Amino acid sequence: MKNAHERFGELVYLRRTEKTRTHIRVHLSASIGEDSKAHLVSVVGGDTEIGALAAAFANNDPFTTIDPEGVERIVSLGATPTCFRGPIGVANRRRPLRHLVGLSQEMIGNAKQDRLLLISDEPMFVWSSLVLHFGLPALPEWAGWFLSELKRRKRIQALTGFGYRAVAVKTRRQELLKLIEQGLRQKKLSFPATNGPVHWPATDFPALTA
Amino acid sequence: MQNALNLLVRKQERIEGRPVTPLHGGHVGLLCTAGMLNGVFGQADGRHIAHWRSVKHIDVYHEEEDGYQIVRRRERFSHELTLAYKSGRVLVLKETEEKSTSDEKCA
Repeated sequence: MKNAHERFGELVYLRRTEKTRTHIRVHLSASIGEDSKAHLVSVVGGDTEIGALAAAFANNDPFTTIDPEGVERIVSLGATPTCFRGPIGVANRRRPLRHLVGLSQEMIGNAKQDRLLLISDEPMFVWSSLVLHFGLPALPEWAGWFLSELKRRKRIQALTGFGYRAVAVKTRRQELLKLIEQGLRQKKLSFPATNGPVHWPATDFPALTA
Repeated sequence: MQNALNLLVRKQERIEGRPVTPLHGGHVGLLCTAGMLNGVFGQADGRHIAHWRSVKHIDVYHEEEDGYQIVRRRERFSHELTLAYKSGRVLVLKETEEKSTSDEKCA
C-alpha cells in the first residue's frame, strides 16, 4: 500500500464566464474512463468544492483528471450522470471532508449498449456480474472457461484510469447463451453432482480495488 | 437508500430457508418467477439449470387526434425463464410479441 499522496491524483475544473472564473482542484482517489469519456470519478474535498463539482458533472462540463503518474486527460461524465455524496470524518479537523462519486450512465448499466463496464477484472466478479446482468442459467465453476473464451474472442478490454482494474466486456445475451450451448455440447462445462440452488461466492469489495 | 457500491458491485442474492408450512403451487410459482428458486433441477437427460428474470417491456401506441399524432408508452414487466440442459440445449421461455404493437424491449 502506497502513501496517500502517492495513490491520489487530482481533478481540475476550470470554468470561465464573462464575470466569473471558477478554478477548483481536488484530490482524485479513483478514476475510470476511455478516450474523452469518464465513467467513474471519486474525489475528496471541501463542502463548496464538492458542491460545485456535482453541479459541473450534472451540467456535462469537461474537467481534467491527473493520475498519480501525472498523465492528464480532459474528460466528461456524459449526460445525466449519477452522483453520490458522503462525509469523511478526519481527526483534528472541525468539519468533515466530503466524498463525491460520479458515475456515467453506462457505468451503472442504464445505457442500452452491448457492453458491460466493470470495476474489476477479477474472474469470478466478471463472471458473476455477466450472469446477473444478462440473466444466464450458469454456475460459478464455469467462470474460467467462459472468461478464456471471451478473452480469445477479444471481448474483454481494459479501461484507463487508476484505483480499479476496470474492464469493458463487449458481448450480448445471445452470444453468451450460444457459448453455454457450445460448452455443454463439447463437455467443457459440467453440472454439479446434486440438484439444488446455485451458490455464488460472496464478493469482497476491498479485493476489487487495485 | 441506494449507494454507489450497490451499483458497482452486482451481488448474487443468496436465499435460503425452510418454510413453516408446505408451499402451495401458487407460492412456488411466485418464488420461481421472483428468481428465488433458480438452480439445478431434473434427472438424467432432463437435468437442467433454470433461471427466471423480469424483463421490462415498453409498449408504444400511436394515436391520431385532431390532426396530431399522440405517442403513448406503457411500461410493464413480464417474466422470462432460461433453461440450460445438460445435453447442451438452451431454451428461452418468454411471452410472444403481439404483432399489432411495436414493442421496445429493455433488459
